[in-house]
Amino acid sequence: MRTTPYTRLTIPLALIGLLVFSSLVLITLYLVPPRHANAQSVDLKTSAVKWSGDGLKLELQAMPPDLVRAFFLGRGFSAKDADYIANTGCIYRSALGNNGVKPGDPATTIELTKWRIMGPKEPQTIQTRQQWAKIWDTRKVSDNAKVAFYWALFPTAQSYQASDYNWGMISFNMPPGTRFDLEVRWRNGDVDKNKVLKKLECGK
Amino acid sequence: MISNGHTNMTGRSFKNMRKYCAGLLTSLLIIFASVGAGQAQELLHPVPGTPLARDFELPDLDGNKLKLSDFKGNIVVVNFWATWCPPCRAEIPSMQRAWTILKKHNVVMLAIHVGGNEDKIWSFLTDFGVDFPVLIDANSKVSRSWPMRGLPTTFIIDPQGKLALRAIGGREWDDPALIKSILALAKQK
Repeated sequence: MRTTPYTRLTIPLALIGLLVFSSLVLITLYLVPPRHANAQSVDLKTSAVKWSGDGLKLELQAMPPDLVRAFFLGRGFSAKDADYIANTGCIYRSALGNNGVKPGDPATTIELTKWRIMGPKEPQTIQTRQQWAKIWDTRKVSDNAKVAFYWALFPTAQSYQASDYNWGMISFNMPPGTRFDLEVRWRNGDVDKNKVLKKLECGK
Repeated sequence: MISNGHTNMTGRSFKNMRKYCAGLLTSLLIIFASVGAGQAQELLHPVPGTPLARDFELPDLDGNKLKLSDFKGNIVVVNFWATWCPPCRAEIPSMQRAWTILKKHNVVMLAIHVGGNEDKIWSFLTDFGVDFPVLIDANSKVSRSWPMRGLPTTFIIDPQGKLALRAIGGREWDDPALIKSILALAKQK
């Protein structure tokens, strides 16, 4: 095969072009979140609701009352108090945090008291650690159980830097099997954000 | 002559092409590596204002009391956890691996279990072969007095006794980037 100045120039140019094109594709993939990132998805194995976008990553999974009862019996609660949580708490196991991956990504602040429960006839709010603490004082629960309950519940307010997250239980304060939609609210940097999660159901 | 010229020219362009291909592959690998690193980065964040770490004295599983201020001059990793917290359980094996590296650099690692129940803690630690000190904060007074709200949370204290870095949520603690960030505190004044 005869090599001409044209072919000698074409090969490196084609390779440089390929390199530039690949770089652009990779940078685009890196900067633009995938489309499914903003869709509410359900893990078919665990029934956990998952969502990620606008600085938030979220996973919520309704806990059946039996599991709630067992968990709190194991943490020092009496059968009566464990029943009380299982029958009134509507406990969700949750993991929430900042979906940022780079050090400069804006902080995400989550305040559970700003979330809105929609659907049930009576307006409902999330029952926070502080509200549960008052209940445990009146029910004369042991100190060990109070400590375990406090730390098992998701923090009422917390700021998360990129890649930070918390694990904890969220109590929606409704009977087993109640269906509802949930407006999740958070702040990413200086911007207020929200997302409505549809068709949630307390464990039953 | 012409045929020789052809042969030489073809050989040279083949060599050039190999050089370009190698360059291209290297560049692509670098780009892939940096993109991957961006997505899987394990981050530690500076604690605003780097306040002094609040001193504490807590018992370990044998009842021996350890005081944080005894370790002034060392880098100290303080991890708040509980056996019933899934991400805490998930990160403990990587903490043990990190500990085997960090202890060679005189870094101290203290895991504080929030709440009591020594039997469960013993059996968990035995399963994972943990040999760094685990302290018990039975009434969670220490945990509540520190700037943390959820489990797991980990602080890295610099040799001056200040809260330098923080991680909210689990991490892979033997990640070389995390180890490097921790050891870099030794050089800071």
